[in-house]
Amino acid sequence: MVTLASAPFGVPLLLEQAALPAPRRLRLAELGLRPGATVTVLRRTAGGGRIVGVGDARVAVARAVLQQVTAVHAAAPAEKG
Amino acid sequence: MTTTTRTVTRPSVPSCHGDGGGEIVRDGRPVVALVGSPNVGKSSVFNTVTGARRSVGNWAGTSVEVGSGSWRSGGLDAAVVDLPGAYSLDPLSPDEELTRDLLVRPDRAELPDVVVVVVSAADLARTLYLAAQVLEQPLRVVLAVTMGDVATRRGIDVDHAALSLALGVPVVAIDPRRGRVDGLAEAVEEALRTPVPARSLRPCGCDCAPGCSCTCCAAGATADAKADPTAGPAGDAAHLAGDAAHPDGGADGLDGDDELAVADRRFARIAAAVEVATSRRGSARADWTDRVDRVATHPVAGPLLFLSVMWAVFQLTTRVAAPVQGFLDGLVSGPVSDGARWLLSAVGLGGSWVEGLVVDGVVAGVGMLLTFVPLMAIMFALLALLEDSGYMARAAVVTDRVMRAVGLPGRAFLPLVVGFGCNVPAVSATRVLPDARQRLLTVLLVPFTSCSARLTVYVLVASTFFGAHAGDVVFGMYVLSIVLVVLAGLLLRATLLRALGHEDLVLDLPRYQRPALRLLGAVTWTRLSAFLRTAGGIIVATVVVVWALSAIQIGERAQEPVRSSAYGRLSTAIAPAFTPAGFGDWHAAGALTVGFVAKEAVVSSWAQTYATSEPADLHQPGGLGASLRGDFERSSGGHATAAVLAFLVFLLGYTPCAATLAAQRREIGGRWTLVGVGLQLGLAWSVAVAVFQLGRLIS
Amino acid sequence: MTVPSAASPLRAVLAELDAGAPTLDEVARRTGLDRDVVSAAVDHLVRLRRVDAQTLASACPDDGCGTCPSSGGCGSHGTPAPAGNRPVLVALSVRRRP
Repeated sequence: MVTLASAPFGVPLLLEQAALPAPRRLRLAELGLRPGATVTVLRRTAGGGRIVGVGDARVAVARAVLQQVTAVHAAAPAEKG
Repeated sequence: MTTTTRTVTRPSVPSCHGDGGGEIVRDGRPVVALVGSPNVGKSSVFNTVTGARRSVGNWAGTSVEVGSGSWRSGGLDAAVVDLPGAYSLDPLSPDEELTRDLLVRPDRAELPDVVVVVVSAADLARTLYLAAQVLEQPLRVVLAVTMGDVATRRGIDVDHAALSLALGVPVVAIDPRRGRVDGLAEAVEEALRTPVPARSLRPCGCDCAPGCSCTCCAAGATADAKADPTAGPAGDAAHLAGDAAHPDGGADGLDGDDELAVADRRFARIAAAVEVATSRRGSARADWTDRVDRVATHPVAGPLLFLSVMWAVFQLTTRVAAPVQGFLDGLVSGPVSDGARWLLSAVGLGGSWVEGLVVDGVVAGVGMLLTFVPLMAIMFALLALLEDSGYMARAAVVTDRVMRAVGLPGRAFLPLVVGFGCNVPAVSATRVLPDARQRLLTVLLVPFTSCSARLTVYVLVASTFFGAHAGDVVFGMYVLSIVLVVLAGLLLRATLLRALGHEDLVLDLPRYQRPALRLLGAVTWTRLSAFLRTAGGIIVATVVVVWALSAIQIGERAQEPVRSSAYGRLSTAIAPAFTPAGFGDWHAAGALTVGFVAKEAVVSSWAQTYATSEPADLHQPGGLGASLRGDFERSSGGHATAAVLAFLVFLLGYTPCAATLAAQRREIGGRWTLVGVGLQLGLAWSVAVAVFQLGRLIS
Repeated sequence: MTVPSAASPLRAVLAELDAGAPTLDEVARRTGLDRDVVSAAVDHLVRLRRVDAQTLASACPDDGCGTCPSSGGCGSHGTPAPAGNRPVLVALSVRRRP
């Protein structure tokens, strides 16, 4: 189990519940970062954050938030269809 | 195929779209019905196949619009009816009711001869539901698949042959938006040659012959519970009797579980078809948006790119706008003013105070407002371009750390960027921030963003004193503006707004896209007209007030009449406050006084104080420039450069303009606006003095 | 769940939602159904009033405010719609039948 802040780049991860206040979690969920979602941490950004890929979307997330979101390594993603 | 006589239903209300729409006339030709979900492009199909031979009207006794026309293509000559968009045959709306009424009828003879169901390749699962229902009825069906391009863009590929096999109907891919419906007419012709299929889909799955007494037939299409997983979609027998007796065959009238079971069977069919006929590719997004982002969000390259982009924006703005401004200015101060004077003379008001008011006040004011339109327009257009292309989000990421240092979220970036165009809409733009205290902070910081009105003064002054280096000085002002925003932010957070929380960046990065020019135009126009509306009246009023102040003489008439005017006296009184900053001269003070109300007025009123004419091209200040040089030399005791820089700094920071103050008052209230004014004056003055004193020591 | 998904997609999706599947992708994964079919199934279930859908959103979506800054602010009538509609977060809950 890792946090998004320390997860390796380019590896599919399965998100778990984030230890953040509800409005924050809602915001993340809106952008696709929800418990049970499969994401990939893509690269570093200016300012210490990271860019997280969820499906086709790209979300820039600050370090402080990344540190509160935990994930486990996902099994090989089953691409349906 | 027999020719049947049939009652012609005429609309009881005359249609407003032409003659006789809304009826099916049996004239010996086959009748083709067009059905499909909303938004699949059904109307485009109808328009394309009927060409000009169509009309639209209300179906008799309903408010539902139906199109009817003729389809002539190759060997096909048919009457077409375009039914309203319907997701399913379960009548949740009058549109769906009509569609259902026409497709589910006891009298076979009244059914359309062929039904073309239009579905979307980009949303097969959803748009096939209607098809699944239609396929339960004894109708000849042809499936037309649209939106292939959208599907391809989403990475979905549809195998039409496989789909045809899975559903048991002919499938044709078409592109009605580009007018390509080849193959559809042939498919319909071919379908007309086949017998009407006797088919249905019953939940009980039993093989019912006429006279069957299974629960389905007994209840007349309302039964379930025996949801038999082994009964597949194929091989169902006809339920002609059931259908005939109960035109309400289908989900309508069923109770919940039966409804679900019936719908489930349809979905099973759809799922099987989708499974077999569609495949997904990885999307192309990963490629080039991600590649650009590798630079655009990079810790080092990102900020550099951002600064370059901003620099380019401002260079473009100043260079492209200047000649247009010059032209407009010349137009107003020349032909328009002359024209006004002529008109007034003709009415006998030549030389009166009315002329002064009209020409030097109102016309001059409006003219001044107009000269800023090119500058604003270009600035707004460029900012809109950056937003629409998607780059703004990356810029927000790159500036996030700086934003957080000031205690603002990445989203506050946007109002501040708009502020560089004009502070007035920027203040309103703070509504993007959900938190009231963050909004307050941002509204107080907006005035420190150097708007394009201030730019005009920079250009004039910089061109006068720095010649070839004018552009660099102006750029430096913008950098300083950012510094002041940060400084003021830190100051506010340390004192009055200590309780402000932090919001960390979580921002979606949309794909880069080619900006839509029409959208750009619309946004630019919106902002521009908003500016003209809010600031326009105030600017014109300011010019009129300044004119009045300069016209009213107080006390002994000085050698330069302007000096002894109310305006001049006021400026002289204020001037000593600027001595420590090296420009304690009434001309400069006067310009700043006017600028307190509207920056756009600074240049012209400055010119007025010298009784020279305003330069048509700010890059070539001419007479005004010479006067300025003289005065700055004097007031600074020989350190003109330092004084000029101090002046520019003060101009940057003090208060933007009356229109901005009005906007601020609307957003944060009068009290906080006054706090803002105090903050601005204080900070601007302190930094200006510092600049002058330091500059004096250095030079 | 004992209901084979292929033959009864709606009931399978309903069952997974009832069992607390957090995302539609998860439902698709568990039922083996295509993601689009799951989405269409959910919409149909909402239509059948078997499932309640409630939109959850925070104050201002990013796209909307990207083109928002005009003098009217968010929701200004003069603001053109953002390019491409954003998907919204929807909370799905299975209705309890009496």
